[in-house]
Amino acid sequence: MTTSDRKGNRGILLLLLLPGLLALGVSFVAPLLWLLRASFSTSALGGADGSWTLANYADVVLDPFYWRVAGNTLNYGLTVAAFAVVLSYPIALFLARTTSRWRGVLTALAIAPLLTSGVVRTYGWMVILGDQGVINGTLQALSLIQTPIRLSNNFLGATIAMIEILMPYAILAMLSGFGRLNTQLEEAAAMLGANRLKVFWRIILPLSLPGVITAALLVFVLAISGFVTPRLMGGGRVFVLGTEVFQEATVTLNLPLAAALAMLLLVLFSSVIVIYRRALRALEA
Amino acid sequence: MIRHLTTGLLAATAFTIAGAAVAQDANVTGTVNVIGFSGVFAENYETFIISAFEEQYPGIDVVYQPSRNSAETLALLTLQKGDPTVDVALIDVAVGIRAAQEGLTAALDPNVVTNLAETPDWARIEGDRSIAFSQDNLAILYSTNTVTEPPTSWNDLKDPKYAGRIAARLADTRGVILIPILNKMAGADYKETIDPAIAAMNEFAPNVLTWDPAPDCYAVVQSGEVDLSICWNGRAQYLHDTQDGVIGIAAPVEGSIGQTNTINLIEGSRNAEAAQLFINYALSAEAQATFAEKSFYGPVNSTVELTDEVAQRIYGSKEAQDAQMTLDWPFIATVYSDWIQRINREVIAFN
Amino acid sequence: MADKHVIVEQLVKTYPGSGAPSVDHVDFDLEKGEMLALLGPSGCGKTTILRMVAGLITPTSGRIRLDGRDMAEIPVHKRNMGMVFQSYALFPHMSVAENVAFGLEMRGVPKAERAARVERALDLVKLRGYGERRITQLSGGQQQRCAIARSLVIEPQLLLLDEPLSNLDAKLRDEMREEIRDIQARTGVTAIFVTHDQDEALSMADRLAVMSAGRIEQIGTPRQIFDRPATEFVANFIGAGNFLTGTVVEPHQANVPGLGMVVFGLDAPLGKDVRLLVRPHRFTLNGKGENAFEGVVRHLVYRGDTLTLDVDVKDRTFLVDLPTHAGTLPERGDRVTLTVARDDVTVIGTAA
Repeated sequence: MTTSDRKGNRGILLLLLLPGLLALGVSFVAPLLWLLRASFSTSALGGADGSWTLANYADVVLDPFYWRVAGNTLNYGLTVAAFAVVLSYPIALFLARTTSRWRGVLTALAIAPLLTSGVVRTYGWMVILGDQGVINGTLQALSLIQTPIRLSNNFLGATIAMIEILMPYAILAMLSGFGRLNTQLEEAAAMLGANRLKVFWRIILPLSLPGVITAALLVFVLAISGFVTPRLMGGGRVFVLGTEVFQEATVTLNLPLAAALAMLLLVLFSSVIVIYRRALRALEA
Repeated sequence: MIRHLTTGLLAATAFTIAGAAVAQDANVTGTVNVIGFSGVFAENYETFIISAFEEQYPGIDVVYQPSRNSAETLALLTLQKGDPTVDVALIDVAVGIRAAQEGLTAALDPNVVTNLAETPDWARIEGDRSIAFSQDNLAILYSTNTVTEPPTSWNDLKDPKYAGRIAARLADTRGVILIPILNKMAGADYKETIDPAIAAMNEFAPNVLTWDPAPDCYAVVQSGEVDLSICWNGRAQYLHDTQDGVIGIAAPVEGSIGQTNTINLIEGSRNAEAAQLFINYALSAEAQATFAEKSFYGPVNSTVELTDEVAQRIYGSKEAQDAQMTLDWPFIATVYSDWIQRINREVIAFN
Repeated sequence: MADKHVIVEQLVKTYPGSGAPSVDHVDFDLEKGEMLALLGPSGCGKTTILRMVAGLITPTSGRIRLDGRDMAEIPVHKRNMGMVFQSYALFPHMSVAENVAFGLEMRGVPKAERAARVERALDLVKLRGYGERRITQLSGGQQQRCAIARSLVIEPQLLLLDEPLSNLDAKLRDEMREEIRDIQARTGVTAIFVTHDQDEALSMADRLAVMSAGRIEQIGTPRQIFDRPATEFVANFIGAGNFLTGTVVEPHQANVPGLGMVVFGLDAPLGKDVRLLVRPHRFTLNGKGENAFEGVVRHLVYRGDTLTLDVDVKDRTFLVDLPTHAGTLPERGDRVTLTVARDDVTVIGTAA
């Protein structure tokens, strides 16, 4: 291939990328920059004025309440990610390894919940976990409990619902990250004297780790940025950055503060992504 | 007979005078674009206020555009500043005050909006740039299925029998309105301290199942998820009438405060004349009385006389009616987010 | 028979839902230190046999015995067999040394001993000094060696190789053939390997089992298979051949219609029809004596060390391979006389 050919190809490549880049620029980069700008200005009607100030960040950083909210958000994200990953892993592993002709159907089934919105599924969980919900109703009918157990309107409920809502994402991320899994490697390990448990620990688990980490990251990011489920299932008690951003933006109408909080969330994302990249590199090195 | 004749004459004269005024204004033509609350409010407003106005002013066309909430309306107005497509906005008083202060709304002309004369001072905000026109009282809703003895006092929220049976969304205007009520019960002035109100909230906090009822504070009563819910009267009355009376409404004897809705002329409106005619009608005793009867929103016009039945459904018992309060809304606007923050942090968060 | 190292008896594998068995009553055995090639076209069941021996597939029926022990109840990880996979199946998340050490680790070999044995195994496959490398840093041939080292370090009772050379390029393949043969000889390990490549099978194995459609067509030494094919399938699958059909009219003589009398060295019953095979390179040109056929060179291809001719003899064409030399070679249109010694005319089906 000659140099001019390559240049031509690059031109075509750029041309092909252009619509995507434009869309990304308009729908993502521009609003993000606007948000960044807003976080440095003073609250004004329906948005922010053109002034420059660090007051919003000072408000956030100097307020122990927001540190608690940030800590709570981290806790929420980690809890949801840990459980979503642990619960999704066997499913994803089965789907990745099965040779059943139903594999396609089963995979579709596992990710089918994505077809309904998270809001709808959250309401479903409210029906299941509420004081008069399916679980409490059953336990009471069986006379196992007298008064309902508080399963919703708190951190527990918000966590349970979020775990289930994000599991399809975890399964998808794992399936895409299980590329290095290969039954022949398991057979090779078995031939070398590894029993099933050892095959799992020494071969399947390490090789599926990139998928697991990707899934954990995805779930974590989605969990800490969520506000619908924490709000609906948390009974107003679950204070995470997502709900705080929503509160500041729509109730208190302090958009710059909301923007600063959103930036804090973004910093949280970025640091997690840096950790993720390090971890992945360490795994693949 | 003579008395009847006199009455008839008087009525005829009144009609003639009114007719002359209408005839003069009836030459005004144009379109008034109104943006306001959605849902039942929008339906009632279009049916009982806008239609009636358009009958009187055939040359004016009023277009009603529902908005999800006042914050969104505000965002739209800000975006259109200088070149508005909206002429009249119906928004929460807190938002109305901010809009007025930012110059998004225009001062009304008392010679055109003659009904300003019948509007009390507290409702004429920021030099007539924002006018309160209706109030929706904060009330305690209860489930008629599970609650045999309806609550009568705000103190009933503390009753241990309601443990885990109360929905209270307080991190918004509801909480901001409840503070002066609870404060007054404790004998304190909300302009000085709100500590008594916060303490009172913390007394019933253990009973609260959810601080953020979903989908809203009415549905959780209807569904039986809670016994009590701190909520707005107007919509609750509507739901009581249309949903088999499951939702009962208790207006506590200590009195209440209404969430106040304002009507605003938008600065730079291209139909300012027609818009002010519409606002004048919206502030009239006739319009306010009708709206009070149809939607159980408290009127603001001081000449409106409500029937006992309507007054009862808006404000509760005579005792409650007498205890009804109004607020210094411009002051509230300055403390609005601080109060919400205190409720969030001292009552709700991590409790 | 009972003292054989490996005995496979009446082995059958039928997959559910498929009518014909993939492996159909297969018997074979191996002496200690012997190398057996399972040779056949793809889908003939050779890999299935290998996997059944390994324990990766459960036989439908039949028995596999190793050192007299029935393998039926012994799970894969306890069979102590080494296996070299076609894809090598090296663990990508471990270094070369870790790969090789894996089997020892599973057997609880102490660390120090493990290291020494890994070292020796890497020496054996000429990978000394590569222990710390990642698998992805190895060339195809090096990966192959690593896979062999990994399977040998556990001192398996039986080494199984599944198409071990198919992923290598031609030159490396020749090299590795020698290498594997050499390693096998030095370690004395008994081995079964699967291949579809006849050259590989002939050059590496002590004995070959030629398979077709789940059955073993013939089992024997490379020479037996090549020179005494038991079936026409075997004759065809291994090397090229000229086939003739004739009737035995006298001992060692058959009348081939349209060609005449053909003399052969083997015994065949009188009056019977036989299929005769002459390998192309067993012909000589312009010789004298028995089995001389006159013909015309219709087509020829010069291949360097051989010259391949199509020679029309009466109404048939013989495929002939001749060694090349500096002198005059036949050309297209030349009249030639092909001769073949009677011992180079094989009667198919007379193998032991």
